[in-house]
Amino acid sequence: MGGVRVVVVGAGVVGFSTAVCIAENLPHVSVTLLGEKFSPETTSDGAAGILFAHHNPDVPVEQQRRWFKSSFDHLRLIAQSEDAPEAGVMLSSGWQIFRDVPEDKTPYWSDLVLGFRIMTEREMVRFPEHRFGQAFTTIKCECSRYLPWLEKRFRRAGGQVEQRRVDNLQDLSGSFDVIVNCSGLGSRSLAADVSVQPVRGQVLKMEAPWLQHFIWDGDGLTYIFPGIQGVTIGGTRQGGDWNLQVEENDTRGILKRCSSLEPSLTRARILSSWVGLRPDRRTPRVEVEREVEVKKGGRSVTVVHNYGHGGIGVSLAWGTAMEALGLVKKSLQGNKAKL
Amino acid sequence: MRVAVIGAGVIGLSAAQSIYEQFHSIVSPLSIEVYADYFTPLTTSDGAAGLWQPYLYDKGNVQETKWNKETFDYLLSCLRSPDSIQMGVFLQSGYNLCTEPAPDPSFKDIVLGFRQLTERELQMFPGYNHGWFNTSLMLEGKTYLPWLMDWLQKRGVTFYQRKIESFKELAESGADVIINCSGMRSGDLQPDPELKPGRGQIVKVEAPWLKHWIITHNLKKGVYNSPYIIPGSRLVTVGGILQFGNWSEKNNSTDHKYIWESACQLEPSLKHARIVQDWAGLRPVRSKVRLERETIQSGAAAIEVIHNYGHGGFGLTIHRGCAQEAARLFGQIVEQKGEGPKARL
Repeated sequence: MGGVRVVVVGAGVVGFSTAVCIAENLPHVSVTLLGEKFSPETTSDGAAGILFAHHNPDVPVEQQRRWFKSSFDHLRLIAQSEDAPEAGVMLSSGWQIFRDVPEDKTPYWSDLVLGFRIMTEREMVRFPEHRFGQAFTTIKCECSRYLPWLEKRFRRAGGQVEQRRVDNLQDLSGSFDVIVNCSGLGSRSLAADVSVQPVRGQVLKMEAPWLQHFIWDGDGLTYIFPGIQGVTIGGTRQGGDWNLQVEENDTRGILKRCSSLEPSLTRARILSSWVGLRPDRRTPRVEVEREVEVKKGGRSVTVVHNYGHGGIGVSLAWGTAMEALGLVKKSLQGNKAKL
Repeated sequence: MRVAVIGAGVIGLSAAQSIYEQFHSIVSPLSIEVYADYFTPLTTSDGAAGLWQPYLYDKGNVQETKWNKETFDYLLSCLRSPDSIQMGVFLQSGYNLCTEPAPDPSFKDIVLGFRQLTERELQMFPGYNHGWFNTSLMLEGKTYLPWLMDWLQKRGVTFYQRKIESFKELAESGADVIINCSGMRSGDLQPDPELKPGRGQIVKVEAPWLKHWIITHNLKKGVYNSPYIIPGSRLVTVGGILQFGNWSEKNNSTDHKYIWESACQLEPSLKHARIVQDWAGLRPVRSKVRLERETIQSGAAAIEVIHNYGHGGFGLTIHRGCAQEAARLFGQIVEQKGEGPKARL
């Protein structure tokens, strides 16, 4: 079989993870990554990048576990290696706290992170408005470092990177045999999928080097994530909101909610603010679209989708990338059979 | 009453604080003076990483465990105070690793969230097959000492940069009570064969991706003689040396190599950390802390001394409990001298 040409569309954490998975595991195919925006201007760049998830009732638990475990284990090896600082991957311990005792006290990922346990009464004293909490160690993956590191890895595996805006996947079918769509929100047009909706999130980066633990409120809206160069605090979840401007109201709200969990934040300096649009979907879409027939020469081009990860892109990127790799492999084998 | 404190490390400053807190409205006038040859940032307390953690086992010394606990609870209560950042106190979690199964440490019920390490966690540290995880407190000397000095200065405590040669010297100049917090150099004021230097050397590096301490224990090599990595608010302290009887405060390149190589084995990402500074200090090691009164006859006069020294490598860990005890002993002297509230009736 002559050189198979794969193109990955999207230079965020899902795009680069997928491109690396394919390039490293299928050395005989050529892989090109096309992106309109690259780090530090992708949605992934502003994300705190803490590996963590909420249970999605529309995805089989086994599949969520598989995706999360794959991502966690992959990043954990990087966190323990020499590459950790360059890749922006580190261990992070902390607490998820709830005002009301949740029904599900041990979520599906509790045995996939490290040292998961229920918080003791003494630990809860710091949070007088919360009645229940979980302590564990997870990973923080900072995309402003991780994406350039993945790009290096991708190029080392023979990948090609090109800055280009793609308006139509069909435009690529002349030059490529497999198109992997990791365009996040862009899939609204590229995959004609209007079920992908922006969920606006605003965060602040604070100078608070004395903070070593994450605190995540079970409401999903209030969080404090200490990182390599600042503490990311947030957030907001505004469905259907395309506004990329930093809003003063949201800044005040975030500071108020986070300071009530961690009073020392009132004395911390704001380093920067950022807004991102989570590519939200009922479930992440990781599947092959019916094969696209190209008129010239009777070739068929496979489209594999890997988008719609909402606010847990970093948490699921590697796992869904491996899944997408599996779909690419299957389709290549299928094509072989056709020859 | 005139109180003279010798020593401006964490022990001296906190003793001054406790005495002021408990007696400034009872004894009038109460003047407190601190004498030291070194002040922050040059004291032993300044070089320490600042982790609250006693030795693994208290060997029956329940008094010291009580003082350690008092200090922990006190610092924990300071966390929500508006002063917490200026005090240099904050929470941190981490790993204590052993090469063989070992009994739980004496501090397990004092710290927060103490638990055994899981198999998967131990896999991160090849060569170590047992250990614990817990949340404790950091108290950075370089921040805490200036805060203490400021606190004391605002309340009229005065400071003198001077090496005191004898207790007599201070008594003759009018001090009613002397609080001896001279740490390693207590032997210069009064010979103490039980007090020996436990020389330590550390490397301070920039590695802001590290948020947990990693402390290894080798029960054969003894405490602090096994690599440890303790992140602070700005720099990470890397160490693992305790040399009994070595008085040198100079950095030693063999020690540096040993510390650095073993730490990088433990935490490979350190290879990319920027080295900022080496430092060597002398832990004032003693079989147990000397915290007691002594009345020294000097001719016709009796000099009241409260000794508070010999805190080894756990000065920051135990300081508040000792300071409160020193204040209690001071209270006895106040009663005896008839300066207390009863005397006023």
